Amino acid sequence: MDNLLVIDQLTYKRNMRVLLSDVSLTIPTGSIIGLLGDNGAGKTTLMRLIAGAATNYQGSIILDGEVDKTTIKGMVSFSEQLSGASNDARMGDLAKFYDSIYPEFSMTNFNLLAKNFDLNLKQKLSQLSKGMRRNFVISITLARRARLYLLDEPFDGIDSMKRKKIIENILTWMPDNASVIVSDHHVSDIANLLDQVIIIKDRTVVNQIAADKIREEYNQSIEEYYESFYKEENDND
Amino acid sequence: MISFNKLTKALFRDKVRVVNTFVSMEVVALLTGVVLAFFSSSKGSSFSAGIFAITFTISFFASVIMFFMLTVRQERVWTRNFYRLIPVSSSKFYLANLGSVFLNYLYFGIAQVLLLLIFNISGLISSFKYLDEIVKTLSEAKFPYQVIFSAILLIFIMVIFIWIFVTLIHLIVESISTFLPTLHEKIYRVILYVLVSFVVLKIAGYISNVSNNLFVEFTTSLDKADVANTAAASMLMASGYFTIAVIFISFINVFLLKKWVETDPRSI
Repeated sequence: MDNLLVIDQLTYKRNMRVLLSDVSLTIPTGSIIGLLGDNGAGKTTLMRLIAGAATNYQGSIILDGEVDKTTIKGMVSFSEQLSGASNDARMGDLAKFYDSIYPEFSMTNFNLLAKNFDLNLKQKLSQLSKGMRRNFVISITLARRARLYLLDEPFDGIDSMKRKKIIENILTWMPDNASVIVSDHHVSDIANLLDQVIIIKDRTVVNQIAADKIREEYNQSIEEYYESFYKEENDND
Repeated sequence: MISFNKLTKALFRDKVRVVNTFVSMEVVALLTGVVLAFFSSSKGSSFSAGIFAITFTISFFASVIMFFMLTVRQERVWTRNFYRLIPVSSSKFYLANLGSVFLNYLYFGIAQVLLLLIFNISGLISSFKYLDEIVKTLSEAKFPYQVIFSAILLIFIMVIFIWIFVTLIHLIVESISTFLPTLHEKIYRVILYVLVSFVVLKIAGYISNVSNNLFVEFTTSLDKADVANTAAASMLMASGYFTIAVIFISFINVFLLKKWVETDPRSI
């Protein structure tokens, strides 16, 4: 399988703190990857860097052979792309904005996704509950025909029924030549989805492994495997 | 990649909702003003003059507030994921945002002219009987079109200059603050804004002094008897000076956007 994303020796500092240190990883095309780590481990920062929200880093990010940040932005659909949108804006208007900006945004797909999530597009962002907002974010993110989807904790504050619906939609709408990186710390929700797991701890990648290998060779669930990296810390607490 | 025109149009639409809402509120204020003028005119003063004074005052303050609101909207765009993750080059992004703000203000300005005309229609109709006289006076006095044109040009360029100047200070502060600790960040930012504004204004003042000397030399060489042409030439020269400053600062702004200014991680 070809590698869609190659990250090499990525280090990022901000506000006199190292937020990512010497991160190297590869993401194959057509795979769903779980980016697992505790709060503050660096999951969101890594996604921000891949998406092009931060620029002052060392190392390289290559997406489908491209290093140009503007080109990469056009190939990545990041679930935090909506942050900074006006809370007074209606969901329908935001979708129209996306439609006018992103050539690969599909209004038809968005409407289907929104219908699937029972979203009332006339509502303003400020009127949405946390769960509805998440559903809208997922709809907008998946309505773009991107090469790489970055879903940052998409199940945060969502009940189990809605989680299933989100997972169902990810599987339905993900293009064949695309990959998805899902970050979470509720591992059990996404375990069955994953092809690979990347564990990030203390601002660096400590392991990247195939999900099947964890189950077959280590005879562990993904959750158990992930927790083993934090076990020492928890035992000391 | 999205074209410059499409991006400008999308960013224009994104901001125009604010302008439309504000103009709707202004219409309510103007209607209230007309009612007030109606009651005060019954005490002997001129109704038309009263309306003109009130509508002009409301329009003036509305223009100042709108300018401030659009400046805030413009600055938000530089540090929000929603805008910064749009796949366009920094220079195209910068020009499209600046262009959309300018077009919104122009749209607001046209709305102001229309509102002033509509609300002062009775005064205008009554002045039609003096139309011949006004035209005659203007033609005899050689209406200084060149002065009007130069003044409008200078106003437009100065408005753009203020916007990009605010952006310069904002982007410098954003760039520096990424190197400072997050502890007491708000305090650092306030100090930075004061310091950066002071330094930038000092530099601008120095450059202004140098160009002012050139400006004085130029205007003294002109024919003093021809007041209109001298005034127009002075304003055109000032416009040229501000245009150079706008281009120079814009280069710095685009550089800062491309190399140093990141989106705000706290908005996630």
